[in-house]
Amino acid sequence: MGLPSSSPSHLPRQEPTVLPEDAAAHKSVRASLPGRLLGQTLRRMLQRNLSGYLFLLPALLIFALFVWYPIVLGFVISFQSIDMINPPAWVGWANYQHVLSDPLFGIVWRNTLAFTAYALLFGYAVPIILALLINEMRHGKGFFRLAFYLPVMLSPIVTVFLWRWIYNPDSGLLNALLSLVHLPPGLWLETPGTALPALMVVATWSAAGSTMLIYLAALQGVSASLYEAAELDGAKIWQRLWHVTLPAIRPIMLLMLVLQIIGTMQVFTEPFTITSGGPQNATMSVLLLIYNYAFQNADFGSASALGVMLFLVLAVFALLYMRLTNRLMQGD
Amino acid sequence: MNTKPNFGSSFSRRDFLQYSAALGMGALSLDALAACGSTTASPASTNVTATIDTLPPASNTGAVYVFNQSVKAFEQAYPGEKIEGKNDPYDPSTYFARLAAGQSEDVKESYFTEPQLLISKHAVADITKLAKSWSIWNSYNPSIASIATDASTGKIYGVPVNAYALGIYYNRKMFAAAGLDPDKPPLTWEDFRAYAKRLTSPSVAGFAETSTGNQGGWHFTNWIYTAGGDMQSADGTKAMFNSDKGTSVLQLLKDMRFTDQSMTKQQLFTQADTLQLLATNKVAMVIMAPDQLNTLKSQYQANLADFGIGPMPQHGGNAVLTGGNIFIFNPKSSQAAIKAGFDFVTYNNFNLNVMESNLANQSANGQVVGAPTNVLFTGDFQQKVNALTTKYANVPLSNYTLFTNSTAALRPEPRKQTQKMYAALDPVMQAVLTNPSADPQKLLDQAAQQFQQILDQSAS
Repeated sequence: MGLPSSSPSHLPRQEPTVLPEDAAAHKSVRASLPGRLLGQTLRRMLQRNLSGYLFLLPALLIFALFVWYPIVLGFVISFQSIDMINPPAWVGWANYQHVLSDPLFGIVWRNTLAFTAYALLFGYAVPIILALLINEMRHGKGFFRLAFYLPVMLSPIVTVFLWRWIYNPDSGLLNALLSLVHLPPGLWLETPGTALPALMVVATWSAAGSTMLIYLAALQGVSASLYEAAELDGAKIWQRLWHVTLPAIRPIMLLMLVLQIIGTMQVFTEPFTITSGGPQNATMSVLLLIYNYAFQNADFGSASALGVMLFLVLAVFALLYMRLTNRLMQGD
Repeated sequence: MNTKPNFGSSFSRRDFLQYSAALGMGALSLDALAACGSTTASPASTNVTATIDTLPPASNTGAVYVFNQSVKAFEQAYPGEKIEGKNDPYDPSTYFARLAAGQSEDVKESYFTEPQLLISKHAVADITKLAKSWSIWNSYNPSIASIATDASTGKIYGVPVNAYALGIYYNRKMFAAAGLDPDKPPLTWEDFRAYAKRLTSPSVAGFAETSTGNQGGWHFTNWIYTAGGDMQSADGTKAMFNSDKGTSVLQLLKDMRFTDQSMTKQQLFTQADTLQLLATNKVAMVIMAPDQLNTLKSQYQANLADFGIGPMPQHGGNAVLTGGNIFIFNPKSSQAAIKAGFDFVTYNNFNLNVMESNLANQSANGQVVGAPTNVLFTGDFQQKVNALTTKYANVPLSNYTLFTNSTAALRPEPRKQTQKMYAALDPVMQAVLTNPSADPQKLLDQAAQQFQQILDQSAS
């Protein structure tokens, strides 16, 4: 780009001219003009907001070092064999072949998708309903808001131990409650069919609070005049909900939907700490398999290969998320 | 999580600054950690410091005192060599990452199962010269020495420090309450099954077994040895655990869980869980190694007089799984640091005078001395070690008589792809412990087929 500062010193700085190599690159003066203008604009922007960009710099550096660099490295390692001591060796697609031929490959994707589906079917509506209920309350709003948010503040490990006790078939809370109402006890975490939904309940319980706050804020942004108008038109509570409230928070609902899919597809803490992927691999998730490759088998190449696959799947949802946020911003 | 309603549209500059400040702090603390983890290097060339991971947790003040005393004694005996202890036990899941990051200690206490993998990954230092010049190396039982040796090159990569055999820990009070003789733990599968049934009550399960964290596969291996079965062919090329011996192990556990109902309904345990169940009187019998006596005492303040250790009940195999700990050295450390570490490890564990004062110290500071361990050495040296241990023992040795006198053969864990084999067997153990209609033969066939692929791939 024809930035004046790159001119040789014998040329007057006040007279930015197109250098021969620039001219060759740009074919004509006409074509280089917008480039030069862009350069000037950039420089002016930099000068005007220098302090701003300086403030940005540490964050950029940290993001580059701790987020972007590891992502790129993940791609690179997925084509390498690494023992962490000797220089890595390139192995082509071998890691991908190994991951694809692993009998667990199909199982972990099925489990992860099932977990995401359970979370959508049963978990997605929970924070919306909580937010709607709290929003309608006249008394005790603050109390319930805090009560539903409390699980978010618990450390994940505390949550895990709490739920392991709740689900304990010998002395747990859930079976004790069921026996009070004469229902048969269950082996919640010990049965392949119920283990994954049981983990989904834990995940929903511990995350619903923060999503609920987002919905609550969105609900408070719905103009009261809309409700008044609806009431004047004789709308009942369900009609108000259906025709006023839900359309107003729909953009947020869509966003949370995409975010939830991205989040639940990366499920790790619950299967890792509560069931270790059992019983019989029923709760083995994609992320848990990545962890096992890397830290049980010291096979960082396969771990990265599976990581790249998950990344690509999630990238689709991330793109969707970005398009939605853009639309939301334009809609505002 | 961001809780602003319009979170998508305005990730404000203030948020951004707060975020980056938080990240910056994180980065700083990472730096600080990295600085802590740096190894070796001291200014004077005559003075070298080696780091070792066996510093006991600060909560166990007696053990920390004993450790510091031994370091002091070592530094007097070996001027110029210093030892710095870290409380950072070996963890297979983080070892490679920490090694690569330069944060692994110069000396780590690892397990018998690890050296072969570490050797193949070049993640452990060659100490052949040091070992060969150490007078006691040749006293090692050859099968123990082979654990630290690369069979193809003959090079040596570690110092085995103790060995164990798995056995049955049992609650003596519960035995007495159920009308069983506390001095006669079950010796056969049939007795074991009958005892578990008798010990079971509404609040106590007779037996609890591990099935996650690769410990299901580990204990399955132990069980199949008691039945006389094999896990792999001798050359490690064939998976052999889907035999009728393997099936009989699973059938026993399944019958105990579902027919007798003498096992916990809750499953998916690791050893830490089952030890807790034993210590808190929820379970009467579990499978453990003798080194867990220390945890039982220090973590749960258990009265060791109430617990006994019996040999593994047998079913025609008259064998039991053995394992142990081995000191390994960081391949990235300087030769001087490795030598200092090697000197400390051998001095502190195998110098008879030091051993004696360590045992006296341990006993005086409330540490468990005399937990029955296996024989590491042959000949004269081993007899001297035995005499010392018995002299300072502070555990009820009579509670372990049958375990100590057991004639069962000690069989090491299979060497080829051990952890992956265990990982393939965890789901099998989980199946028979959670599913009343599980088919043991089918489960084992599937696992064997899956593990055979791993063996084939590693061979090619």
